[in-house]
Amino acid sequence: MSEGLRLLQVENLVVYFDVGGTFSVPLVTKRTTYVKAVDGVSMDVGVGETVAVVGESGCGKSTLARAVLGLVESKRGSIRIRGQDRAAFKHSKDRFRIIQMVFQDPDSSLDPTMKVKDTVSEPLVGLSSMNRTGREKKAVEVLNAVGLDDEFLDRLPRQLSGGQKQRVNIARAIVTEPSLVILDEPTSALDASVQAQILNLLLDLQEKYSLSYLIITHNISVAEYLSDRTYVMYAGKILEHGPTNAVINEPRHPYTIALIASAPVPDPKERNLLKVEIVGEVPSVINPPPGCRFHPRCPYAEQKCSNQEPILDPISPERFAACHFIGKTAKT
Amino acid sequence: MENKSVLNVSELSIAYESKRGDVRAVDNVSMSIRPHELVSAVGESGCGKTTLGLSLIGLLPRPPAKYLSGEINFKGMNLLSLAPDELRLYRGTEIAMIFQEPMTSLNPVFKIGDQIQEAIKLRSSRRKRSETEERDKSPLASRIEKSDRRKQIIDVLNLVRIPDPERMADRYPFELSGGMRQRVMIGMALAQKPSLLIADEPTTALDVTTQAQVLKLMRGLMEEVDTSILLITHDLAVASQIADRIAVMYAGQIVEEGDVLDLFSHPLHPYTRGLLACIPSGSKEGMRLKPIQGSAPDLRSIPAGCKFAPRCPHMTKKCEIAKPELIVKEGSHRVACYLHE
Repeated sequence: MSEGLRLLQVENLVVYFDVGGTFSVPLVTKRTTYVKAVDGVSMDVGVGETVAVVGESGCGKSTLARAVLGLVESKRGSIRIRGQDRAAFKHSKDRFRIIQMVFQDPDSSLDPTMKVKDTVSEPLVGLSSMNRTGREKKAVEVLNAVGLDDEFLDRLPRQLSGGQKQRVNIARAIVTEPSLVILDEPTSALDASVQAQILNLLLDLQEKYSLSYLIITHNISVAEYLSDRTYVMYAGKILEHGPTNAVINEPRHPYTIALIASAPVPDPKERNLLKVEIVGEVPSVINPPPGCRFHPRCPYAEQKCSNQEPILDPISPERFAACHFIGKTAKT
Repeated sequence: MENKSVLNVSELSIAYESKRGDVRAVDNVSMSIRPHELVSAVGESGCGKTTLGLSLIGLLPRPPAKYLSGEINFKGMNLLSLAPDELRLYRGTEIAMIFQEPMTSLNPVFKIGDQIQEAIKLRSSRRKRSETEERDKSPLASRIEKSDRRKQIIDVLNLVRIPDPERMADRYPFELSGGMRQRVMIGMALAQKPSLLIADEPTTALDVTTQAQVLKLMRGLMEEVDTSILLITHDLAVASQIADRIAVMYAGQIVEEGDVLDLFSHPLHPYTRGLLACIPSGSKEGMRLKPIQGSAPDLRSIPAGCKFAPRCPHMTKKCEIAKPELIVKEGSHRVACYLHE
């Protein structure tokens, strides 16, 4: 995995949000309080690869994506793109050609006063020698690629359905032909029938424009459908990662096992949901549990888990899990 | 059969007035719920499932909503014929409802315990006024002694398995997680042991591990509290996991209804089949998803024929001309499609 230059390489990334103002009492609390959104995360994305980060709300997966894009400052750690530090691209226009992002809410991520063709051609302004007509031509080409024909060019966002808006968002992200597209819950706001259309569209576009995807999602089946490798995040940490098929079909970390068991399967003959035994809820990342962050909810937890934090160890080639008792979770 | 149902909706149509014409949100819906049954109304946004739920408990704002036709029979009483004062005796006591967002359903400035207390007090006074005193099987519904109040609150919190109820009762909603808030809502709704609980997307705002716990709790409480549930959801997978019967809604109509096992093993309506094909399972190397083409129709100008016809792979001339009726196919499996005449 380490050979060759990875398109994106994140190492020991730490992102804390200062919330001291809200929680501290002057003269009593001296330390500042932090939300430890991302707490020592390492991950990478290869060229042409699709990587999913799955986890529940508050696990830090969106913060991770925003840090990669540079929308939030990281406290420690490095983010390298094709081997170069991300800071090198900070003021270069090239950064628009490297990473783009599609956000969850297709509505609020579009300017309500901008026509579709202007929204999609705007990222090209100043990027190339293209003039206005050239940019518009490119925008039309990409809009056609996302399944919107010429009648949509002069429309405003309010004249589009949710699925069409998300198509415009995707078109805007890929119009600069970036290497990596970050998709933050790309279909969570959409109805089932529209979600399927968008998922297929993402696969078609990946082939056509040779894109790499970093998908942030809470939906296991979306991760399974789109991705090659999956990282499972919990309370700011990666607990398990490996090839998607293996992680989802043979989860090894107790949290991954619980997460996958809790995802409802559309089959009344297999009523897994009523057998789920997980207890409790996602912990606060202001004051996360010591040791393994999952130990208060873990059926395998022992004394060691509450005072010593497990690290990501290889459990088979390409598969890693952070658990002291990984031997116990193997299928017998 | 009919008499045994807790709820019997027949030919109900509801429209919302708007400047650009009426929006027919619920169109000729007939359904029934039997005691101890968990029926799920499944459909995408705008299919009328929430309007249906709100109409059953009399919470639709009128105007803009208006009932065009039909009856809602609850234990033999047509709720649509009741005056607002009479309907209030049912709301919260005989029929209760919980909503998607448990934070906005709780008052942020009152303690959990006080809010539960208020709900019990209001509703038991309603129950006393109502003529259905013979249904007084609930110890919570009987006369409240001041000293018993605390115990009642704790009982409600225990009912929904909230850990450490003594301390939780003195907390404010913001101190509780989403899952705990939804448990409180379920507890308040079930405190009066209603015969019907309407749950409108109760777990949509929750994480999957929390969702699993809340759904398991709801299913378990049905027996304990002796109630039926109408679960409104957009998620066929969730419905398949806990429902006894499923009604699939599209553009205001029930297009297919049946026992959960029948419906999933032999989906009859092309829309149901399409929805099932839209759920990703397995990886892209396997089979590509087959999405339903197009999008839901504008409910202001409904086509004359089948509402699904423009998106249907099996559309024929007939589908464009006349609307198919919901007919019984086999057993209790009903479908509205010319493919199955």
